[in-house]
Amino acid sequence: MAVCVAVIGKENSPLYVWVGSGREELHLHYLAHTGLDVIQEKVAAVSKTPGDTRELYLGLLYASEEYKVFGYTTNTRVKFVIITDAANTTLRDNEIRMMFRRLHNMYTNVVCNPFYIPGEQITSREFDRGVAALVAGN
Amino acid sequence: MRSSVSVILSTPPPVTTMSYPDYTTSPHHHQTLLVLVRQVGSQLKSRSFHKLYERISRVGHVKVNDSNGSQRPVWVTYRRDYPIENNDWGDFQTHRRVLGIITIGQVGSQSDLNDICKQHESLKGLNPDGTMYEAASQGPSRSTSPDPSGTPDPGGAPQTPVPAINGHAHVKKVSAGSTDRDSGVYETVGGEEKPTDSDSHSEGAADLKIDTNHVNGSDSGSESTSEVGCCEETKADSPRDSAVESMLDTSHSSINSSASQASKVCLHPPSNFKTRALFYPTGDHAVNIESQLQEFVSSLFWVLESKRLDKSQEKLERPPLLCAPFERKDFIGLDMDSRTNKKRCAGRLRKQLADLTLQAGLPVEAIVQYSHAADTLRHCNDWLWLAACFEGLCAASVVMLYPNLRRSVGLQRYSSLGVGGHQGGAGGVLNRSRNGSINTNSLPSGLEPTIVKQTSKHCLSPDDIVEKYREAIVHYSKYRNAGVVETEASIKAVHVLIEQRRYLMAAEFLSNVVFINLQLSDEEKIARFSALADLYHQVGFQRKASFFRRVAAMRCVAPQNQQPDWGQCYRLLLQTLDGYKVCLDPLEFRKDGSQGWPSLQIQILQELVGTSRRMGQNALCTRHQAFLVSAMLPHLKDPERQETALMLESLSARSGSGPAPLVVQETGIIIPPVNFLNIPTCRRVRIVSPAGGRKAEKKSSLIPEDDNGPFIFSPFSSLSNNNDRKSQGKVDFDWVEGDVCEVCLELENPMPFELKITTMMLITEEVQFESWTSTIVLKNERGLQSVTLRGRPQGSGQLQITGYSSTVMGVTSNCRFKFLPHLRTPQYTINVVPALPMIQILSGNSSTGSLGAEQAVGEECGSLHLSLSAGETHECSVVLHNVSSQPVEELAITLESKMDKDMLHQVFQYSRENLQAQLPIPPGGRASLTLYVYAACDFLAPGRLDESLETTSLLSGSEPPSLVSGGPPSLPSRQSVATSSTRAAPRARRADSSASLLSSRSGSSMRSGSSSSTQAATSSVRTRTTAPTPGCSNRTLEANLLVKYSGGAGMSAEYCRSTQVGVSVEVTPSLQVTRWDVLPAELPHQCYVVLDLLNCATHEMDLHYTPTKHILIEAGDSCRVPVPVDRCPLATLTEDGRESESGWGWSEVLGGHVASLVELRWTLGPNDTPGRASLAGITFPPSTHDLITMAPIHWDVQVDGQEVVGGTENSGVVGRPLQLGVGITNTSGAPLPPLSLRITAFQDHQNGHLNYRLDAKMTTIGATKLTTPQLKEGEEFQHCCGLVFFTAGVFKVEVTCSPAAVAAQTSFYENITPAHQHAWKFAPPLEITVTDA
Repeated sequence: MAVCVAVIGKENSPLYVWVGSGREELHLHYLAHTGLDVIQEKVAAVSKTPGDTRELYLGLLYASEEYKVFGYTTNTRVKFVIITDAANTTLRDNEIRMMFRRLHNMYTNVVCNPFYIPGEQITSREFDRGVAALVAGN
Repeated sequence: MRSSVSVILSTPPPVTTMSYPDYTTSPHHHQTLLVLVRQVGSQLKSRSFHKLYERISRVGHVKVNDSNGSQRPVWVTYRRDYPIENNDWGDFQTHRRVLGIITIGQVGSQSDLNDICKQHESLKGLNPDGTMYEAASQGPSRSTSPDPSGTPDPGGAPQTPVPAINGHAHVKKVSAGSTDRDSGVYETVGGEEKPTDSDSHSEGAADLKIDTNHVNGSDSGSESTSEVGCCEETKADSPRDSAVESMLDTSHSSINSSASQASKVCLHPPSNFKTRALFYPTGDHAVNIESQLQEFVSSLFWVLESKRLDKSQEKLERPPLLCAPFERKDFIGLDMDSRTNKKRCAGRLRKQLADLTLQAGLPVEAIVQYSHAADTLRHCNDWLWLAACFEGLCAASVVMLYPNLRRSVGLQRYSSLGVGGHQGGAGGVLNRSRNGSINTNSLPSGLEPTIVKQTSKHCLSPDDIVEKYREAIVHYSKYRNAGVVETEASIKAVHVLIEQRRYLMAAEFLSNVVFINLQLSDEEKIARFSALADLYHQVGFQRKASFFRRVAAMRCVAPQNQQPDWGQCYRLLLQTLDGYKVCLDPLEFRKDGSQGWPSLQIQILQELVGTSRRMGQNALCTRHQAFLVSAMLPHLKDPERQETALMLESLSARSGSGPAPLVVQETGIIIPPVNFLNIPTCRRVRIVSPAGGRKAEKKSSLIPEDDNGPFIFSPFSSLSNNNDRKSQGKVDFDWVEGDVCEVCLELENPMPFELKITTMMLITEEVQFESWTSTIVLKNERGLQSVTLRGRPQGSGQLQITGYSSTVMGVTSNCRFKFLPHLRTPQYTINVVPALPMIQILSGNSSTGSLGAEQAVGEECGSLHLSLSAGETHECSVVLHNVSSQPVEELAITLESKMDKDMLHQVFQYSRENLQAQLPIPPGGRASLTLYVYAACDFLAPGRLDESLETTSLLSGSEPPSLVSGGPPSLPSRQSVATSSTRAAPRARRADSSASLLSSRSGSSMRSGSSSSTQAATSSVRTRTTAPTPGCSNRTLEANLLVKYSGGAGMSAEYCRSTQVGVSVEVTPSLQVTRWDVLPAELPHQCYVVLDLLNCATHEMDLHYTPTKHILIEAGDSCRVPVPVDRCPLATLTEDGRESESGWGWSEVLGGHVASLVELRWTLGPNDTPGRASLAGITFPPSTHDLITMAPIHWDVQVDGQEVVGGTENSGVVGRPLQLGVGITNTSGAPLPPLSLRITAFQDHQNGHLNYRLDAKMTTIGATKLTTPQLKEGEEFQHCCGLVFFTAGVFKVEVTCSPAAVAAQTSFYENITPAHQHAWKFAPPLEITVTDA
């Protein structure tokens, strides 16, 4: 379903990037990277209004001719970006939302690992498997 | 917003579309008058043109009083370049039409002027329609240009300043190209009078000449009449410094001063030149240019205003159809008279009127007009014009709501002037951060809220503006040919949204721009992308901006690009770095190293490297590659590291990279140096203390006491002191000027290959330091590898080591400790003391005579090894060689050892004075010192101390084992425990202590310990350890010869050096006294010390135990020798023995006495090595004391009147009495208490049995037991008795004196042997051979 999944740290450096096989890796990197602009802007806009909990799912960040870029940010400012094919119209917003939820859960598991230092690159076989399952859509 | 349907509607020729969008556009442009400023002629330098252009463009805002007397703001946009195609869109949006032309040129002669005028005309003619200028030429030409400053009309008056300086002049022409209306509008107008009104207006305002002609055009239906407001300012100015410029100049200058008639004639614009010319001598002289321009602008305004009034007032039956250029074809063949078409025409006309109104400075009215037009057009489904209407509506609203927007845009455009092209524009935009526009957000300053309220009735709300823009863009997108307009509208919307701070929506509009399909040249595409990047930058989307800038950069050098521009690509790439969080300063970069996207950073850096290489900038290329290797190292995998490093090496081979910053040509961007702080990684720095002998010490007297107050610990002093020391990296030892000093670095090689560091040296400050470079190869392995850097301080003071420099892979870097991530200490401070001399100690063996075979003992703690037999003496020559360039002026030698002093002096001896006499030692000189080494040893077998000889009879033949009658005889048993009860107590004590020592020490390791105890005269409990192999173990004597010396500059600074030589003497055993005892000698003043000697050496020993007697002992053999010793006088005994508390005190004194008298000399082995052994430390048991000490009495024994000396034969006859006279003389220094004298006869059976029962064999006459009276000093007591023998045989008589029972307790003996019964015997016993008659 997704062609790229990225976990991006607080300081906007990637912690984990998965790119579907056969895709232009660098291009997707650029897409995820530029998506950060929108995330930043959206988060900044929300954080200006104090008070209740904000929606973690940021929705469609932007779309290029080939891809759609979706964003999600945790309360600790860790960002998730999922890129899908623009042609893939079967994917509904709710499904994307669910994917982010799962990704968030997986990330939480990674952080629960006492040997993982937050902010480091994620090297976890479990996480790899999880992402593989996530993008496969099951 | 985007509709792809649009495009198919029409297929117009390319001319009808605008060539390229203006990316700097803003909504305010709708309000401005467009004036083209051109440079004509080749003589004008572009720099002066720019100067003038700047001045011109400053006149962007003019206030004009209109006919009603109210002020109208007029805004002008100056362009230097404007495509003609865009001009054609002037009907569609009037602000796109060029309203005026200003040309600037330089003329030197009339022909130049004519040329320029021609060019000016042709510029007008460039307009393919060309109508307006044609019309102008037809009209009556009056091109008068009198200057307000008094420059005369070129027609009549002489031109003063121009030729006065030089003949050639700048000509600046300003031509106000008219609001070139297209045909139909004015065709029907035909109002000839009104333009003249405007003419009169302008004439009244200034000398500015505006020719307005209305000619009914007869050309085509579309273009017949045009009105030309043509203003021309011609300026002649002379160049500043061209005195020798050309023939022409000089010729002119010749005329100038007198009268300028000629010049006047020269510089006359052609008669058919209808624009106005202004002449200035130089650009700087054009003082009135601004006022001229204002007049010019206001004249433009009047033309515009008249147009507006015309149109607003006229009521037309058949309004002409205004079209965008591409539309014309579409209307061919359509019914123009239909109702919708009429409406369309009216609507379009109204829209144009609104445009004009807006330009004429009446935005409120424009809004009304726009809304009317929009209503009309909406009904006719005229989407294109409706969109334009909306855009105009938005523009008018923006003009009112956000006047500040103009300022920022104006600034942006202004900054783009210098460099030209889009490049500079980008640079200018970068300065404008998002935060800068915070204040411009809500209400514009200077605009009263009331005004806003008033206007708000008409104008759109901020949200509506965006909505309308959106709508407009949607409509535009339906037309493929309106792509440029759509783009510009989007950009305008973005500007407005930025102003409203709705960045997300701005980004949305921007992303729409990307989709607009435009036919653009490569160059235009690059411009488009960089413009997008700028806009994204303004929106605050740095990453997006960088992305597009990179795309633009890649476009410059795309493979399909015919003329790749690497330079531009490089400059664009440099600008992208921000968005990728790449800072080319490695130090800055590392600080926020956690940010950014490594894979993209690596990509962009690689592109930078590639681009700079294609540019031929090898230095830059190397620098970038070095940065890539260094900064991105954590993100590179091993193969990538290898690859990048290899590439760097090949690049740096072409152009090495030093630690100096590089400046990128043209842009002036500085690329900071890349220092390989992490290649290799320095983990630890250790300043190496000079080796022992090189260390400089403060002279002891001068070491300052740390005054820490009375407290052992105080948080204020102790802690702060420690911290200070740590933070400053102060080292607590000194370096010496002129000495080789070392710093040890622990490096780690992060690269997956062998890392070669070619020039590595220290960076120091404060003190001059000669750093030595070294080349190091770090192995390809993880872990620390230590590297030593050396250097030599050239002066004294506080040397600071701040870092090191290294050349790795061809890149030279200066690595400061303060920048190194793993080091805490920013610098190390070392005190460098002035030069000190340096001594090298050489040792030679003078006793063997091989001085030539001197060997250096080493600079430091060298050592001297000697192997000597115990008792041997060795002469050792120690040579002090001054190897430095400083003289040695002070020298002190001390010996240090664990041995106690006495022993030390016994072993080592040297002459201090001899050495002092050799000072000073000049540089290179030598001094020598002879060290006498005596292999001192305890020759007495340990543990055998007081055991008497087992079988004295072996030696002394018929002598009884012990001659002491009252005391215990020497025991056959070796067990000390089994001694008699009288001696049990002290002996048991000793046994205990020796046993305990035995357990704690190994036998061979006893060195000084045992020797010291032998020397300790006063110690009461002597500890004597027992070796497992008694007497045959090697031992080593060790001492350090410490030489402290100083000289030269260091001496005056109170520093000195010390060096030491360890002298270790291995003592091999030679002779061992295993047992000893004392036997009485033949002479009463002597006794025999009987020694059992063991030759422990491996060679035969020739032993001289008295001056005359010697004996050969085979290796390993034992031998018993008697040594005659003079008995110890009582006087010494009483003197020395006083302090002793027991009888053992005496034994030491006696031991000392014996040791001083006995000297065993020996020669050993094949070399006849001489040696001597002493019995130092020998002690004797109390039972032998009386033998060794001189008796306090002197015996005088006579047999039959004949004195008996030891060993004399006496004979008697059976039955005949023998007269035995015994005389005792007190020889001691004190009165003798009463003694009991006994005379006992016995027979020695020579088998160890003595027979005292002689009742049947003899008898005595007289007393054999009696008590003497007290004898004073020197007093004599005589006793006589007779002996009668009954049988023949050999008899012996023992004469004994012992203290009387009564006197036993008296003080005299108490001192000596309190626990022991004293007895003095006449020795040897009297022997009488009795014969039968």
